Amino acid sequence: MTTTSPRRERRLLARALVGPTVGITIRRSLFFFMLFLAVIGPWIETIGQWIPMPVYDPLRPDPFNPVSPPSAEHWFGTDTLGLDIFTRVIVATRVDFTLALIGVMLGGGLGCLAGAWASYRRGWVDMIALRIVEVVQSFPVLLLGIALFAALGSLEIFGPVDNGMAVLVIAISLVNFPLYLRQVRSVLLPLTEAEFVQAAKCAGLGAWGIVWHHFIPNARGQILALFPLTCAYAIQIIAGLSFIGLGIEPPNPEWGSMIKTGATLIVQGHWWVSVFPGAFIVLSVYSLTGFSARSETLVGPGGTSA
Amino acid sequence: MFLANRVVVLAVVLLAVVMIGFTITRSTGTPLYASLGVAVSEAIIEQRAEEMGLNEPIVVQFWTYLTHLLQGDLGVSRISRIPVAEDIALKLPATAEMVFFTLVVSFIWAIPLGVRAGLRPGGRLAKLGEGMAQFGVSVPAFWLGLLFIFLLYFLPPRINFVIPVIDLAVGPFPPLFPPPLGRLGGVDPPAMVTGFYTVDALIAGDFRLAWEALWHLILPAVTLSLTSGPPLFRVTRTAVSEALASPFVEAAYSYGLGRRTVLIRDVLRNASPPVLNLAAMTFGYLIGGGVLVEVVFSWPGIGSYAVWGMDNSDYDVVLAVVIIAAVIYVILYFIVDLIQFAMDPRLRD
Repeated sequence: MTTTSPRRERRLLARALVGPTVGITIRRSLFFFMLFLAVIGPWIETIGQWIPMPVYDPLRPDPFNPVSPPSAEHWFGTDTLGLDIFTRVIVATRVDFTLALIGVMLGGGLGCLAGAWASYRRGWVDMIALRIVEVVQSFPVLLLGIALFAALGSLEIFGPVDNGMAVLVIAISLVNFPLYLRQVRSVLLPLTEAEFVQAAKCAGLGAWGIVWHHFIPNARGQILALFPLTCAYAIQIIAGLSFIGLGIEPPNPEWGSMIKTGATLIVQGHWWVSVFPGAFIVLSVYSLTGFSARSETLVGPGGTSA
Repeated sequence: MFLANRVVVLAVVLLAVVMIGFTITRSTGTPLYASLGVAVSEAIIEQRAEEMGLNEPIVVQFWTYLTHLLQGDLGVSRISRIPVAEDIALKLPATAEMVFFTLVVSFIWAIPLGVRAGLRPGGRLAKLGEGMAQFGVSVPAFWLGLLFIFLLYFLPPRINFVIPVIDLAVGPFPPLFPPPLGRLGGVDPPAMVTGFYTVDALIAGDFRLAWEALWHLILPAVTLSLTSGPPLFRVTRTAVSEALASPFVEAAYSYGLGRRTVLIRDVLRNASPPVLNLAAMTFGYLIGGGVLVEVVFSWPGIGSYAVWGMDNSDYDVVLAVVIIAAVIYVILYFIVDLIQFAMDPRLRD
């Protein structure tokens, strides 16, 4: 139906061989760069002494230099308190990555188990699992976060753990639980009648044994494909909640709360306060999604409107 | 049978939604200090708790809330003392209008590009669409909104330079968009009919006002559309390419029908259900999902209302918005399901 000229064909072939891999490689190296930043975060000041890079204490205000534009002393400028944005943006990488990772692992892990269990048991267990998914997913993510903060935000029930961070992790895991449950269930449902399951049953393996040893490994590919996407999504949720003042309290570096600081300044032309933290969010989300070959499977309608 | 089944499920889900929302926001120790402050005597606190029914067991409280909810009573704001239902009636149309125009913008870019990408994968427009989708997925909506405000509102009046060789003065330009301060710039809103300012102004015959309202809508709508449109683009692309590869399209071609006829009669018609389905879901989702964009543009919708309630520890407000948004989503989902069932005979066995 469509005719292809030889030139076009050659171009398509070249792209198939080189094109996508180059793009993906760039994105993956970008991710490892972000990971590197997350690792060195707390020692950024020490590193600044070895290589010529203007880094400062991310928490020490400089009252003589508030809202100064990007310069040689402050590469990304300073905010209202005179805090150096370059340093803070780097230090914040670890905060955002860690919270996203913990939240996704917690909620995703439970979701996988529940999904495998539901697809093994079927019947009413499956039905209840699906209803739970339906109910949780009918709450808009950010409103769910707001409600959680309304409930838990002022309670000091997490002991030594920072309250805002704990609630953020709970919110992220609550969002991820149904995503993983659904995905795992849809992969495993056809396997319930498979011969190896029958064999395992005959061999006397219990239900949890079958779920753990035979079901979950079969969904590994799906879980791994979902993992980077949900981490990216989690970063956006963390930043979004911090943007409305929930989660990480302002003097601590976090991308969303840094954007919040700059939100009122941007109509006065002080763009750098918000632009750089936001650019780091974009970079990390973009690099993370590079890990999923199946980036089509987005998390839901308007999935990333965080 | 199917219908009865779905209605029962709908009722159960709605009840669960209200229950979860209720328990989450009520599980705080005492919301009293939040509304009264700390410097009040025990007696006043006790009296207020009695008034608000907080001494009852939580099940009784839930029952009271539920029965009031069914009568359209969502409680009273503890700060402004205005019934929450009244506030929501004012703010929901603002959100709905923004979300509606978001979908309009998405229908302008995401769906045509998706159709094109499905028809000709690897083409220039397909790549443009994929690029926009990648961008929209990676960028946080609130940050994109701020960027737009800076580039299109703040910057144009400050562009002022002369191109040296040809001696051409450039700028200053007027701001392309209004300041991010809500639905209208200090003008009285039109008489309330639908709550959509653009429509109300047209009903009142005031074209200037309608334009003003539209002008204020564009940036929030474009921001939300760029970030919520990617799934629409991708679903359209998949649906079109699947329809194109199907046997009925091959059959249509073999009848000797023209390309255009097949495209409209077979490809687009068969590709539309999943797309419309997703569009409806996106609408339902964005009612509560556009919170941050509302905050950025000071849009007086239910999202900013929830944030306001949160900031003031006004939990009835938060609870009401959460429940309203979730209920709208669930009901839309239900309607979409019904329509699909009515349209597709294959689902009826």
